[in-house]
Amino acid sequence: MKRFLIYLIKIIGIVIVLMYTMDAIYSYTFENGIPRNKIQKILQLKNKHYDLAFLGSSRTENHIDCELIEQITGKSCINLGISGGTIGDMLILMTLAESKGITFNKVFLQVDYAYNHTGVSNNFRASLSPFINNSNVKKELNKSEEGGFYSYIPFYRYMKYDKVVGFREFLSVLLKRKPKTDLDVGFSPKIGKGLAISGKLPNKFNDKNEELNALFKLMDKNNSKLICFTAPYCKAVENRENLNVLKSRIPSLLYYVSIFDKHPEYFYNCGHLNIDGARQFTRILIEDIYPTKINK
Amino acid sequence: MFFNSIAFLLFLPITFSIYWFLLKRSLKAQNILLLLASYFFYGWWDYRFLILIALSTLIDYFIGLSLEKTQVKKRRKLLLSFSLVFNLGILGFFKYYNFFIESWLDAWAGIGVEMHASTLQIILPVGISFYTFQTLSYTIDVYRKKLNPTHNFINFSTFVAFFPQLVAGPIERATNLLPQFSIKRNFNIERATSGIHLIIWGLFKKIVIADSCATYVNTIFSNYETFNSLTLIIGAIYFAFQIYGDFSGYSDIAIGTARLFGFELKQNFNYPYFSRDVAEFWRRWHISLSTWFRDYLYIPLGGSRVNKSKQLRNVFIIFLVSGFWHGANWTFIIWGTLHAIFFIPLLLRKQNRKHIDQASENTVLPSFNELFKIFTTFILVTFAWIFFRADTVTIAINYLKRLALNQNFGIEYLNIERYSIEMFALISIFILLEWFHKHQEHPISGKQKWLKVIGIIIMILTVGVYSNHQEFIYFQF
Repeated sequence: MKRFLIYLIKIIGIVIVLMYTMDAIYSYTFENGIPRNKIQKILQLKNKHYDLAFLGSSRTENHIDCELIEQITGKSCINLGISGGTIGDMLILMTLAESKGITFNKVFLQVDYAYNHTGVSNNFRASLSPFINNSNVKKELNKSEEGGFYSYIPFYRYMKYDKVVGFREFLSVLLKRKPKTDLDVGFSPKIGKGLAISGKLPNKFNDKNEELNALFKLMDKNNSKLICFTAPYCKAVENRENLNVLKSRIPSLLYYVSIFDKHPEYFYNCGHLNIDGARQFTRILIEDIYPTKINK
Repeated sequence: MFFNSIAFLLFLPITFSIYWFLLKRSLKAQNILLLLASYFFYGWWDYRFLILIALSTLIDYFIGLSLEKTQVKKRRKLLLSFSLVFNLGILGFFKYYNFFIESWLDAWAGIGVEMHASTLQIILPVGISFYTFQTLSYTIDVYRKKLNPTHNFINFSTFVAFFPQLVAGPIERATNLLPQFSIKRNFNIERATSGIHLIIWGLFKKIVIADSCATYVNTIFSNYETFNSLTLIIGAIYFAFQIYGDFSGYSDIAIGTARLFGFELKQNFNYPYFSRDVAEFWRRWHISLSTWFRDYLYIPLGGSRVNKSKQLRNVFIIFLVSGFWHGANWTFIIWGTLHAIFFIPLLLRKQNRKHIDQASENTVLPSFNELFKIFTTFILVTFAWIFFRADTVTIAINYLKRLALNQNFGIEYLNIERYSIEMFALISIFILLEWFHKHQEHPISGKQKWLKVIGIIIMILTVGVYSNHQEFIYFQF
């Protein structure tokens, strides 16, 4: 039995050493490899200034063409929308940006049903996990149900989030495979047309969103102006009129929900514009932000 | 409780430590611990169904004792019948009730008669097919006087509920496992070490091979209408490896776990995808089930000692029942029928026992002829797996139709954001590992054992699938 216990200790020892080693290799690669998502992009920037930044979910990522904005206005712009991203995700992203000395003149946040959601999305948390040495990231990861597991069990986070930061992503970073989205501008347009509906908008909206308030405060502290907007939905989406409530919740809200009601050709599906719709929407937005710059 | 869960990671060392350190001197206490641990293991999933295991245990225990007391043939038959009706009745109710009701209604609807009957929301107790067959083997063997009934209720209860193989086999025979509960078990380092190696290898098969394949298989089978011929072929091949990795991985972990407690379970898989014909495949795939059917169904029906037409009948019966054992769905019945169709030409040409040895017994690489046979057998088996995997027969047929008619063989980028062929690298490593160790029980043996252990642990840690946790497929049977 003694020999067997020594053998077991050896196996457990090997597992622990391997987990520490793999953790170090993965973490080093993610921290120093090419950025393949917007969190990595922000974490690798230092003391950079942008005139404009756009935050939100896929309804920002697919809708705002920063290259077009730069062409028309000459203003530097970055689209930081993340598919499935919540207001909580954006708050952390801006906290990280602040810690890296990244500044913005104006920050636009896309708000819709996301107003009802609090907390950080799972995908965002997964993408954060390699950067546990960053104190802001550590604080956020420790909030999840596993708590300190992330920091105390090496390699745990890479196993738990294998879909997002597992072996395939590690290999992609190592082989310097470029992501599908050009992270310098962050715009990821949809190609195709349609009005397919997936899901419906909420019946009721919460009275407030603490994370949005925190984001306003953070932007205020950094002398940036935070402006909220609501991107278009097609007419057929259920409860679309309920979004009107957001105008009272956020008085400065730029409300574009119904601007393309007569242009079904601009939609990829009911909640997302296609590339033509996105460009048209971007132009409308520029017109509202910089009325003198748009070339009609 | 799943073998690939954190709960089991705690459960196993605790049970192991109490078993060998605290109860080492008392065989009875060790058996009681195994019984309690087994009930805890099963109850972790759903404690309500423990009553079924307990009932099955009680009935077969007392029927065994009653069979010993009487030599009156009629009475012995009655006792055996009672056990069969009770065990198969419970199995039938939980597993097949809705199937029979729905099939009955469908049959009437087919001739234009609308009938109404209510189906029930029945939860299938995990492992019911496995422990039912295990207890039946005991009663049948006692009835046939091949086995003396046990008078030790604890031993018998532990035999029925033994946690390593309770929920997905191997289906143990009372003649093999039951006596092991009566013999004092001494700790044997070689056995325990090989148990650990089997557990590691089983985890590799499950977490690295099966669960990785599952990611592709699930998306290909769910959206088969949108994929081309090549992707559908790949989907079927991946499923062949998914089910092999999943089920044989479970068996390896079960056998390995049992060895840690000093028990030897039956081998359940023996490199089945290196078989040179379907008959050989069935000697290497789910061995504990196929030998069960051979001994308790095929041979009593006359086996191969009857005339040709009866032999054919027996083959069809055994494969149909085997298909039906897997579940209440016509897909399984067709899967069984296909295997019968593949098997019959071998039987008619008396070639069903042609390949008793291992492929390339004395050579490193297979001959062209062997390779061709292995490849052909794999194609046949994979073809049948399409029916096994599909939710309905219609889906399986449509899948095959599209596979044959689409005629596009380009590599597709799937909606899981990876190319269809990506898994082949991993599968190739797996095939090579198995091929070069096919004369051994598992690849973590022989020379450079430690290097292999480290390599496999690295693969489990890095390539394993953890976020998309997949239950063992055979839990549903």
